[in-house]
This record gives sequence, structure tokens and C-alpha cells, in this order.
Amino acid sequence: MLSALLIVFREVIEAGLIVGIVLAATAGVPRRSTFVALGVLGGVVGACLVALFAGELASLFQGSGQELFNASILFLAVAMLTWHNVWMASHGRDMARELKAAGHEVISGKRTLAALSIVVGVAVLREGSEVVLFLYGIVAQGGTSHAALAAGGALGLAAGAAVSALMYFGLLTIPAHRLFTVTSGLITLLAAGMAAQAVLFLQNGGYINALTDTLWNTSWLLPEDGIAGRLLHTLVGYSEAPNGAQLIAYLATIALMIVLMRTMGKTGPRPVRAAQPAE
Amino acid sequence: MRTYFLSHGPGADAPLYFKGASGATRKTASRSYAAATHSGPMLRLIAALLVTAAPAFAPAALADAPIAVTLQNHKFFPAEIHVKANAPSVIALTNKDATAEEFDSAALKVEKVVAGNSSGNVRLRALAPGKYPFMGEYHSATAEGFVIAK
Repeated sequence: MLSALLIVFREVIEAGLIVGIVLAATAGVPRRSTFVALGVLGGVVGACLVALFAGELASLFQGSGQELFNASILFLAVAMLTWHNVWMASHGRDMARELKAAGHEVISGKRTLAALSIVVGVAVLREGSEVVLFLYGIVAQGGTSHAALAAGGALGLAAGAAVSALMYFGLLTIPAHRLFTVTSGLITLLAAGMAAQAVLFLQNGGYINALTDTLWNTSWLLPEDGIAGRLLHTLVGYSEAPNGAQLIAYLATIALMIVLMRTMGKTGPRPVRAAQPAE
Repeated sequence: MRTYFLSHGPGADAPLYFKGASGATRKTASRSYAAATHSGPMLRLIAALLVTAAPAFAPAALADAPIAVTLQNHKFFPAEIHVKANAPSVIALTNKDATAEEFDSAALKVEKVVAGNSSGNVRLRALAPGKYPFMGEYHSATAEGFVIAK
């Protein structure tokens, strides 16, 4: 029961933190719960499918199907996070300035909620498939009673959800005018960490064979398999021993995000300024 | 830096996403979202991703013969794996248990699921001399071992 509790807790936190950030980033947007729920649902269905076809998936692409799949969905999530941030940079500022006219909010909600829904789906799928495989393994073995397993899983789920809720409500205590900046920053680091992780999968699949040397090792200070290391790994892409390709992917994602947010932010419509007589 | 991402093949989807938030990404988003609203959402997404990526990807050839490791009764045999230091190597893991296991190691930077009664290759990067612990994440009480690079 304890092992079920721990593993479910760990995976739920990892997906839950991402859901928490997405919820905070969309605070006040109508219908966001529907989109996030759809993402979670899609992720759970996807997790079961991935777990069910784990063997088939792994045997694709000369045995590198799993790595390629993981890298692909991570890059998809990075793209969606980038799009959300850039869109918010070009439109969100205007919306805030116009004191959130209801019409604008609905438009923004429709546009980026779909992208964030996919991000939630990817997060749940990745962590969820591990939970499904693990729990299925225990059931098939018959070692633990089903009741104990269910209790452990449920407790793990509840504890993981509680930590995620803490993250969400913690973010909401940030004043509204600063929340946008904070969530943009969090999403940028989240995306950078995912890009670095995707590159690692491509390396493990044998697709990238350059820049694989470890740059530094901080496992003595903050081991990546400890709870703090895991949380930081999920949130900001912490790696105890990153290699060159990972670092490049990480920094390139941040740089690209900043450049796009700056340039698109400038070219976005500025109805308020245009209406000022002085200009 | 972007050319780095482009380097793994012309047909790859990933580089497209990096081109920005205007045309390419928006199109991708609406397509994926449309797929997600229908039945079997993730499966379609998976299929689409794999199919588009297929022609461009082929993993690099293995340098040395893979090192055979067996997982049985949630234990690795051998549990101590010796590899050459500073050279990439491959562990050919055969899972003889009925259930899946995840070969997991933060030190080796590997997470690889091997389904029950099947096998998979775990690629290791060039390792500095040392001892690297790994475990089977789903049965970490018994499934553990070390890679020793010399």
C-alpha cells in the first residue's frame, strides 16, 4: 500500500504542478475548467492507451519508439506553452489595460485554452501511463490486496492533488497585476525544462549523438531523485547533471520565448493607445 | 541555435513549432484541438505524430554489441553491469516478468519502460569512470543494480 501511495503521489504531483500553473495562468477566464478537465480526461485516456500498447510503442523505430514518442509530445507541449505566452504577451496587456472587457476575455479564453488543454493532457499522459503500468503490475502480481492498493492509490492521489492545489492557491495570492508576469515566467521555465527533457529522450533514442558530455554535477547538493529535486525538475527543468545539448535546448527555448514575446508584444493591436488624442 | 533542432531531419514536426507563434503553431493547435474533441483523442494525435516523423528518423547505429541483462522476479541479472568508460554503450534488457518495468536512473539519465515478456535497448551515453545506480521503478525494493564504468 505504501509503495502505491508513494508512486501515485509522485506522479500526481508532477502532473498536478503543471495543472496548477495552467489554472493560475487562466485565472478569471470563462470556461477554463472545461478545457482543463478535457485535458485531464484526454491525458487519462491517453495514459491508459500508452500503458496498454507499451510493448508495441517501444518496438517502433528500431526500438526507439518510446523515446521518439516522449520527445514528440514534449515538443508539442513546448510549442503550446510558447504559443500561449506569446499570445498573452500580444493581447493580454491590452486586455488588462482595458480593465478586462468581457468580450476580450472570451476571445482570449477560446484561443489559448485549447493549447493549454493540450499541455495538461501531455502532462497527465506522461505521468499517468507510469501510474497505470505500476498499478497494473501490482494487480497482476496479486501480492497486495486490491483494497490496500486502492487505498494507497487514492491516498497518493489526494496528497498529490493537495500539493497541486497549494501551488494554485499560492499563485493566486499574488496580486492580479503581477500574476501575469509570474505565470509567464513559470511557463517559460516549464517549457525550457520540457525542451531539455525532450532532447534527452532524443539522445536516449540515439537520434542526437552530439554534445552528450555532462557539463557539471550537482547531485551532491540536490539529487534529482529526491522530492525537492523532482519538484524542481518538473517546475524549472532542474537536472543534476545536464549535458551540452540539454543546456542548449533549455537556453534556446528561453531565448526564443523572450524574443517572440517581445516582438509579438510590440506588433499586437493597441486600441487604447490608438484612441488617445495625444497620438 | 535553432539549426540544432532542425538537424534531426527535414520531416520532423518539432522544428516547426520553434518557428514561432504566428502561422505554423496556430495551425497545429487548431488541428490538434480538433482531434482532441473527437473520440479516441490521444490515439489520433499519437498516430499523426509518429506518421509525420517516420521517414526522417532512424536511430544511429550501435557502437559495441549490446550488454545482455535479464529482469526476472523483479531482479536484474547481472545487477552489476560493467561498461567501458568514456564510450557509449547499450544494455539489451530482457524482461522475463509478466508485468512492465521502468529502468530508471537519474545518474544515467535514463527512463525506459520495458513491457512484460519483452525486451528493449537502454542506451547509455559515454560515462566518466564511476558507479551509477539504477532501479526498476515499479519494484524498487528488489530491482536495483549498478553500472560500473572503467
